[in-house]
Amino acid sequence: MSLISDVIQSTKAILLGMKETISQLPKQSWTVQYPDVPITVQPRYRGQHLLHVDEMGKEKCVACYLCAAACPSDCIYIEAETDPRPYEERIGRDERFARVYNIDYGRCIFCGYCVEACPKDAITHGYNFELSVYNRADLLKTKDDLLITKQKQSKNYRVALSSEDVDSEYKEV
Amino acid sequence: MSTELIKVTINGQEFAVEKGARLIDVCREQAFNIPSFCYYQDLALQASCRMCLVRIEKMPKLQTSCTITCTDGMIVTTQSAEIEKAQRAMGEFLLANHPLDCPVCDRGGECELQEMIFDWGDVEERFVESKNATPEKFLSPIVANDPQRCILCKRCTRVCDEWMGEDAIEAGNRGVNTVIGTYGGWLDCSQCGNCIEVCPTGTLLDGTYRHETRPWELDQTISTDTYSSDGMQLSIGSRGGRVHRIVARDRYVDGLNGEFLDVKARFGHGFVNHEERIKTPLIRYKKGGKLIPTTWDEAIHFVTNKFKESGNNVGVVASPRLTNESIFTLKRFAKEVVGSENYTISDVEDLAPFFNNLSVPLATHKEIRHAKTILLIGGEPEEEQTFTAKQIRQAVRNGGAKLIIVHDTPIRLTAQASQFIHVNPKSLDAFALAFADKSDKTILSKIGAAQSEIDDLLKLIGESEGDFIIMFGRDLSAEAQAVLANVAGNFASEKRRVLLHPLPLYNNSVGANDMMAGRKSLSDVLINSTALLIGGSLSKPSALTDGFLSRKDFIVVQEMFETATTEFADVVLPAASFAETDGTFTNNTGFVQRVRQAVEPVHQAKADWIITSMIAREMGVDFGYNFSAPAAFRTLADSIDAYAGLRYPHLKDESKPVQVKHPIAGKKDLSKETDALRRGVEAMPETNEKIIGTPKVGHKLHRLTTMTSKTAQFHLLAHGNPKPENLLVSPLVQFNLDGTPRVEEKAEAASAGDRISDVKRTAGVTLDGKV
Amino acid sequence: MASVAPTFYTNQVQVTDEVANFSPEVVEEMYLHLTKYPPDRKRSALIPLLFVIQRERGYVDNEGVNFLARFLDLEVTDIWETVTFYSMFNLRPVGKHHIQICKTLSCRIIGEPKITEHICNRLGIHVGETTDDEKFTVSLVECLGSCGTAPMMQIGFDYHEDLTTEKVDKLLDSLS
Repeated sequence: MSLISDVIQSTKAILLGMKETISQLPKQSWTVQYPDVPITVQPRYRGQHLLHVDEMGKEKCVACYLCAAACPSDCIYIEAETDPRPYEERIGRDERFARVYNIDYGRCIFCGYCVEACPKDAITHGYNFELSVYNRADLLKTKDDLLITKQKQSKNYRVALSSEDVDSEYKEV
Repeated sequence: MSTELIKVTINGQEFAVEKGARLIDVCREQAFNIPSFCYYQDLALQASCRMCLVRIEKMPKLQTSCTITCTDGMIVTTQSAEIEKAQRAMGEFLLANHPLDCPVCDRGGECELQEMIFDWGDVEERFVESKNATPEKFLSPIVANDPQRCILCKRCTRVCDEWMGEDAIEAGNRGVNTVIGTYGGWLDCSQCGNCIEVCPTGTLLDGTYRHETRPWELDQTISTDTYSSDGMQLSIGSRGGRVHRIVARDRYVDGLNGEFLDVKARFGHGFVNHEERIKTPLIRYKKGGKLIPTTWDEAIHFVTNKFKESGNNVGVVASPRLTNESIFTLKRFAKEVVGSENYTISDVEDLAPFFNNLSVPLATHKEIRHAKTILLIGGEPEEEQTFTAKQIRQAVRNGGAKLIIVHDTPIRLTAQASQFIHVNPKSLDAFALAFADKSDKTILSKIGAAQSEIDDLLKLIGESEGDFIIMFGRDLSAEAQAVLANVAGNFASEKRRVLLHPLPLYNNSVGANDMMAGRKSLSDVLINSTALLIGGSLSKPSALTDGFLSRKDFIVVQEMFETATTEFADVVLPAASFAETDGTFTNNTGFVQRVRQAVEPVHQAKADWIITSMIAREMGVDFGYNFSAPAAFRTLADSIDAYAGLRYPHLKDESKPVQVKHPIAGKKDLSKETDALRRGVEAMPETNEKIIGTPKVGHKLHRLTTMTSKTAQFHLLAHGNPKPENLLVSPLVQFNLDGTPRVEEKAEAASAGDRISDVKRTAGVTLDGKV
Repeated sequence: MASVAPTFYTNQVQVTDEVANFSPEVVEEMYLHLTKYPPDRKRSALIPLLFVIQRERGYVDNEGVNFLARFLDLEVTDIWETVTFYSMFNLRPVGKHHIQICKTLSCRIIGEPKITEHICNRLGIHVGETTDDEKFTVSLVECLGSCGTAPMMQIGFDYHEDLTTEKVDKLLDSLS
């Protein structure tokens, strides 16, 4: 092969590639400029857990340990306690509440079994996905990190509307 | 029950069963699962839950199998569409008023109702009416009650009546309003907690364990009771190095005691994780100084040097609460390391006279339950050997046994007795003499009983058939015990088997007696030695007050808590409690039973036998255990005849306990003891004043654990519904009505003599304060 | 005011250890009741004796229960069980007229709730309570065995049957 034919071949290939690239330019872009632009997540996305409270601000969790029992990676640790005070003064909605509620995100596999198991709808998956930390010990989240009233929500996402198509690449074509 | 066999057909299969067997038992033995709530073996029949319905041919309706006695040729069907429909309907009715609050109910996860409804319940609930709402409450600091969850099986009321004889809890009101409760709304009883144990739902719950954790989160460790000498098997529920509760539930443990435990065994575990546990070794560098924390190496080194100075003047005292391994190691320390004969146990009574003169075998608890005649001389099993008392009561109630009580106090068991010989105070020795030597008529005035009463007694024994069990304890002098243990054999005949049952106070009194054969008396050891190694505290307060300890050069104490004994100690080594060690206890029927480690030793504590062998190794003698409890037990078993050949694997199954073979001495010439006994009896003052009035339930139990009392409960309930935690962080304090801790109880305990032994631990009991 | 929760006597009795004193005649009468039953079945005399206690003391009070417990060798809880089972025994003081309305099936279907509501409204009390002048106590009881003439109630020891609100009004007027 001569040098000239090499150049011709290469130029041809580049032109072919650039043709595809240029043909895509006017079309809609799929990448998101995270974190400048919020990411859209599915309504059923399983992010960091949320511990819920009732309308009076009392924790819904009664520390029944069913989430810990259902957890396949054994990442939930609970310590229950009794709060015999009247409802108005209590921390939780029931007399029984979780004094300690820890989830180890180093082990959590976001399977959602805990949410399935909860008889009081006290725990759900939130949308927070920014869980990276500098220190492995920080992956252990306590009740203060998990409570819906205390958890810091990231500004970098938005939840898709239920009718919205977030990733329909398999449907189109 | 006769051994005659009859034929019963169940689901088409024919079985030969014992005549008089209960149908539900037969079906369950043959692995036909019959659901039931109210049926409980060996309790009065109830047939209130109607879950155990079966179809019996030639009977018009479905029958409750728990009330049917098998008859010859009976044809039974336990599974059919009809029966299942009936059972499902019953399940639905049971749930009609049962709140579905399993997430907050402490029984969730081990609830019989929950499990039964999994199999026999329907998903849909058709009852839309509102349920009877009744508030949760505490019946006592340790019994929490939610009446709404009750399915009225009445197990608790039957257990209270038949096991404990207390009738403290009953079903009140009527119809749908029926609740389990008590007069006045609080529980006045010994707080044994057996109603909690047998409750199939979450109606009666452990108030101390309330809302703490969940059964599946707990590690269940089968172990032995560390308080009473009955050696009750229990299951320690621990989580994360903390003992949360103790139960004897069938699903966790299947010991000789079934689901029976008493207040101490069940609730007296607060000491294990108590904040006042000794955390590190402590050294008192100069007499009168303070105990200063130090390291193990430093402490062992210090002890070794001091013991070497004392040579063979080192005395060794073991507590009867320690494990066999620990006591045996202490004895080896005395004999092999310091070469001293000064070793003893600090029990309140010496069991040697009893065991050295044993003429017949020891009775097991099962034999007590099925005995035909029981003779109780002194003692108070209901307070001290609670399981023995339960077996006596059931033998009388359910087995038709004859109970004869000889006592100076009309104890509560006398209500069950067919004959009660009320003797003068402290004149039981005289009775023993009259019992052994029938010719002696002169001592009757000392006893305070008529000759006819003793004649009646002997006649009753003479006519009796089947097992005849003689029980006596430390109310008798050593000589009287020796004589009685030896004459017991005389009553044996072809139709009658005689068995003996001692009533020692501590969990391992019998084991300690076996381990330390050839020991000296406690006072001898205290007098003859210049330095002491004490495993557990001394029980006898006299030894402390006599100033023996203050005159010793050097005292080492292996303890869990700071006690009256550690005040004299130069070195205190932190010992592990029964929940933190492996070992064995020997109970009052001669069963060797395992103690298993449930949690890691707290702080820097170590098992007593490890501490002792560490000192021994530093002093140049290696016991060869190498921190292995099985090895310690192997050495023990090889050197004590009664335990020969035993290994830990033999003791693995708690449902088949191994009885050690205490040598039976046979007939001995006991004229020396008899003479001593007679002299003692003759020296007794004559009196006609008898003790009247039955002591209250739990009067000794509470002194031992000082956990609850009537006033404390009342005080607590008066302030609403508080968690009884404050009481039970230290199960040590009784409260007055105004909430202040009661102090005079301690003084009373002190005056009660040997009972003070329990005021402080030894391998088990944390009890209250200074002497 | 509709009928509310059933009456629970638990938790409302202040427990003491004191024992009631009875005049010799009353004790004599009690022994008379005792002789009707075999000596080893003393417990059988419980109900007649409870009637005596109630007559003497107005209701089955704590001291009376303690007395009976000693008299019959029973535990107080045994007596509590019996007393709460039968609606004719009261663990609390009741008014002069104890109105016991049958609440079991026949009466309930044919109009017991209406009668109860009417009586309660008229007297201004809930079920299980006593009027301030200590004249009336209203309680709901299980079947009184007069289903043919439902709805019915018992005042004192007298039956009043086929009740209507007018009839009840007349009756209460005549009582007060």
